[in-house]
Amino acid sequence: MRCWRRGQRIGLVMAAAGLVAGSACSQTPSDPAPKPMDLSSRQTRVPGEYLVTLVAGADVKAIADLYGRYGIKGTQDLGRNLFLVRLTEDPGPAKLEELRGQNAQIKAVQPNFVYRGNGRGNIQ
Amino acid sequence: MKTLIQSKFIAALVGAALMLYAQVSAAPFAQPNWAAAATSQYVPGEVLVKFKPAAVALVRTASVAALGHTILAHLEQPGWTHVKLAAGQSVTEALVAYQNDPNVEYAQPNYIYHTAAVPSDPQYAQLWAFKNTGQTVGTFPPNIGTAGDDMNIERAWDHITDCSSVVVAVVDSGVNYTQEDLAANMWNGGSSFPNHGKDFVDNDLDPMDLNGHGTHVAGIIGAAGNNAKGTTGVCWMASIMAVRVLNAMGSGTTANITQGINFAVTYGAKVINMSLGSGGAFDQIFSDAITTARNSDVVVVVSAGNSTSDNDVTAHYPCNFTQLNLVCVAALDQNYALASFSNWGATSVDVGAPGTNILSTWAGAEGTIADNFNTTGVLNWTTSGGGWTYGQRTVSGTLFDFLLDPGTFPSGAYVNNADNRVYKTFNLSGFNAATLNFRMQLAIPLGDSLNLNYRNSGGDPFAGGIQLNGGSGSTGGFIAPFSFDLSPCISVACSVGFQLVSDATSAPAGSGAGILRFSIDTLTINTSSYNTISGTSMATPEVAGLAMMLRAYNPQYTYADTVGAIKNGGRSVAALAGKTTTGKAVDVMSSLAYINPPTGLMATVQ
Amino acid sequence: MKIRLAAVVLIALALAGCGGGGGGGSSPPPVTNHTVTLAWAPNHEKGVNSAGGGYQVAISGQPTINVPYVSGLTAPTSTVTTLSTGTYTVTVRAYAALDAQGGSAGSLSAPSQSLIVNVP
Repeated sequence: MRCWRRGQRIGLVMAAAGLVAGSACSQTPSDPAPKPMDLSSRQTRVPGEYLVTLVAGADVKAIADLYGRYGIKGTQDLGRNLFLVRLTEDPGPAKLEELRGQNAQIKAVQPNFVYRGNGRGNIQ
Repeated sequence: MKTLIQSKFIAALVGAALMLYAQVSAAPFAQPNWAAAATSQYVPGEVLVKFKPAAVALVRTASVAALGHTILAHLEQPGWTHVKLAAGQSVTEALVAYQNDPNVEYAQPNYIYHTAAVPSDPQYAQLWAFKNTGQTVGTFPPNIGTAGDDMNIERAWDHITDCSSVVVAVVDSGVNYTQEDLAANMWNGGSSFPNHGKDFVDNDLDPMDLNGHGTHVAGIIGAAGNNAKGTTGVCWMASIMAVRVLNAMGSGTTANITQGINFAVTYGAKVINMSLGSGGAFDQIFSDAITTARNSDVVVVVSAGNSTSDNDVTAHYPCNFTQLNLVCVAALDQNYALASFSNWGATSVDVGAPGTNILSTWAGAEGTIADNFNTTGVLNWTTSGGGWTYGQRTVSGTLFDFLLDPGTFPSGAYVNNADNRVYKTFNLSGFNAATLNFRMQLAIPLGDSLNLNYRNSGGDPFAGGIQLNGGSGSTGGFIAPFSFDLSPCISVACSVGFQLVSDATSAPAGSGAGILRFSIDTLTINTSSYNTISGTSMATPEVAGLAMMLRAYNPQYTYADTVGAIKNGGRSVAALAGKTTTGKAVDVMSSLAYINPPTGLMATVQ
Repeated sequence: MKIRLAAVVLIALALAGCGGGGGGGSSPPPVTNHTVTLAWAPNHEKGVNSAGGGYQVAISGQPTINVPYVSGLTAPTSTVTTLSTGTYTVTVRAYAALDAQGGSAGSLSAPSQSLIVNVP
């Protein structure tokens, strides 16, 4: 289930990934007084995208073996044993890190973080 | 005849007698200003001597010879002589000696005067970062400054203006490499990289800038100087590599950026500028890329961020990475106070540089297509399925035009089993980039959905269009800004619309959506645009430019030498004390003259 | 004759055993001069390695040694001096003609890390 988040600003990136709802996006009728606008809710990582580093010489098949259960939409070879993996379902970085321990071929996994230009002054 | 010789002889005798007399009691005369002499620039080993009118040529020659000096020239003014000192003799010593010569009226150093290398660029007077005269620039407050609060660069231009031997990679939103003041200073990537770099957003060989930010940064580093056009960069000649990692909205990812860094390192950049950042988690892969750059002797200069926060408390990356080849830059305003938006960090941020109201090159002409949803109070967007309507609401005392569903939003609720669509078609042909911007208050429970779509062939964007976003969610009773890249919709008929879909379960009161301040902001690439903007993004390339200049001036410089000269050659500024590791604003001339302390001292005793 | 000679030898031996400064004790270590070569890594500033540039070597209790650039690609990065027995603190500074005002009145680096040299 997709959801809107306050202050999101990513265009194409959001469109490419399928957002995962998470409880943060639901709103109950009896919700308490409005919270102040929270800029930290802006995207800090691309949903569903992860950077996976394989052990030197490992087979890229290891990625599908370990994370295929979430649906792999694509794997891009960035060189130096680094791959950008797009998942259909995003279980979150903690879960993927927990699973990593089960496969010695995978050296590291981390989110694909988002960065923005620091121009135009204090823009929202 | 005899009389003449006799009289000359007598004159010489008289002169000699006078000289002898003078040895006993030196005639007082105006003292040169020693303090001024100590700090002014003057030619070592030379002085200018003004002899008294009575001192004929023979006497002058004798005076000079007596001190072991030689006459270089007799200046046009009678009595002024340009004198070269003996080897090892200082100007101060010579001035004292001439002071004691009774034939001398006055002596002074041979001062050096500069034209102070002011370039011919017509917009130069706006570049307060290079020369702050207290001029008014831009609109970001305070927009009028204090004379002298600048990077002290003009004197450096007497010594170097061509830095094109050092390739600087601008890892950013791309660079408009056709801009009139940049085209001559772009990196020559040969036939492999005909557009002076690479695009890691679209994965192609065209790093054209679709935002403006990267072009602005590039101009600060190396806009062509003294070419009677536009502005100038830190160096007048440069070699700028365009590495596009940020999209049209100025946003990029770890994957793009690290590929960009590796590309820059591989193809010979010796300085990398990254005016970008994220307040977030430690990014190991990004860190590894900076380490790779360090291992290839590349200086990496990054911005501190614009959230008025302490990076020592809330980490901001890449600023907070700790590799020794990394320099993090805060922004100063025209009075050399910390810019109101600038981050700082006593252990994480290194130096400051001017970052408000900075004029530089831009990607092209910007336009705005604003839409207020109505004609004389009636919705003029196409609807289907009902629900959507035009209305007005007061926000913080100001009345705004809204697109609303339900029409009573934020009161009431929309109907069940709805498929409410509203859209409008815009002509975006001819533009190179387009960004959709609006603000929205939203309260959509799980099970229902608000969708945003576009279609670049016009018509109902929910019939065969592309979704930009959609789903349930809430803005918590507040109005939030939203931006989306609409560039794929550039065509004569780009339709954009909102769709509210509801299920059979009644939505609670207060559910719905209200949209205001809707605009499509456009960019048309051209060769002659400039812009004045602010940010730590602007301070950063000034320091990257300094790194480039130092490495061009000293071809043997390592990254460590360069970083040492930048940090130690700066000028202490109160606003940066306790807010940066150095407490200093960059000072170009001082860094150029800075000498790193020697290392590796060893002794062998026999 | 023999007794006199013996007495002379005895006295000489006794005197030799006295050492300097009266009242018995061992002789002080002899003060000797040694050749000391000081060397350092080259600076990378163009100004240090061109006319008007070079290094200054400071040795505690000694006059500063000037090591100017003469010719070629770099200024010399070593100097040889004679030091007598003792402990010395040595630092090196680099210099060039370009000053921070853009003239040629010169700039001097901060000193290098100091080195303790023991001359036996």
